[in-house]
Amino acid sequence: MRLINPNEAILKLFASMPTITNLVGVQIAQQHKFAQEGSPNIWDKTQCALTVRPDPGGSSERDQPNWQGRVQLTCWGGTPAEAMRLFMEAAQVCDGVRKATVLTSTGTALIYFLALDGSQEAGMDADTKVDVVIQTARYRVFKHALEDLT
Amino acid sequence: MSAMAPFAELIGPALIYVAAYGTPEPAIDAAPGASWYRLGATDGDQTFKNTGAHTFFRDNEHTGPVSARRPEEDVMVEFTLVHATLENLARVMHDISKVTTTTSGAAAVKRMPNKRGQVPTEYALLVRGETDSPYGAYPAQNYIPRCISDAEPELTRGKDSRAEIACSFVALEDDAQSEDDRLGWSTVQTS
Repeated sequence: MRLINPNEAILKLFASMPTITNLVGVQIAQQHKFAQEGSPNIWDKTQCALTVRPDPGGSSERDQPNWQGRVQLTCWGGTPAEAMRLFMEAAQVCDGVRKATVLTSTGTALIYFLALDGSQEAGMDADTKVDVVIQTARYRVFKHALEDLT
Repeated sequence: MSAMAPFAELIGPALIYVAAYGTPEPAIDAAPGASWYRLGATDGDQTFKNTGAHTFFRDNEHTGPVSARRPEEDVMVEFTLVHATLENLARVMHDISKVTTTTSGAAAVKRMPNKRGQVPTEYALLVRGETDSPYGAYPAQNYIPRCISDAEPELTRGKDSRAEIACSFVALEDDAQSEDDRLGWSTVQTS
């Protein structure tokens, strides 16, 4: 059975939400692309962007076929207000996750929950000088593609 | 691997509704009607309890028990309300009819008495999760046709804390139902 990448599942979940894509467009990935000078794919610092990357601190359920972990959501914005606006939309998405299904490159993933973990941090990314709001979130994601279950 | 049933994991809180005793169970694929009042918002754990210890009987011929009977059983739903509207409080404390709309000076007010009285109001209760079905991304609900609020709420307030209302609804046997259904039942959508 195909294994689901939980980080990809959560990324794809956000990418499927118009409230998010209306703000970030295609600027959503595990790592930012603000520094890709000369690349046609370089991200626009004046537009919102969302990065979702694995974050340490989740537990591992060895006897259950679920990923339990944390992700770090970084909401990038041209201004602090824009970054916060994206964060609030992302928080709404997290609140609404109840056994959400989303198509990934290795099949349909089942995300049981995506819960905000602690409060957010706001500031400016030192490398890119882009305003950010950073929030961690806990998740439980079924490890296998739903199509592969007998 | 065929034993995997990912939707069978019951995860996440449910929505809790109350209605007057006698209100029938709503269809699983429709929102509860106007006769159902949603108690909310809740916070923290929600507990659905089926209690009822057995009494075991033994004899001199055997080392293990030879018979068992359940003399008592209870069905209880426990949760914490965090919206202290009088509409919520009255349903938990006594009855919504105790809330009156009046004036105090020039201000419009709602008024609710503290005394609860001897006889509790009987309700129907619905615990519903929109993705609670163990068979797929479908709703599931638990309907208790007859219950009372057994809460003894303590609203504790502090400088940086929130007053929360601990609720407990206890099922009563409803003789209007068939024997198995007298303390309520679960309905889960399968397709």
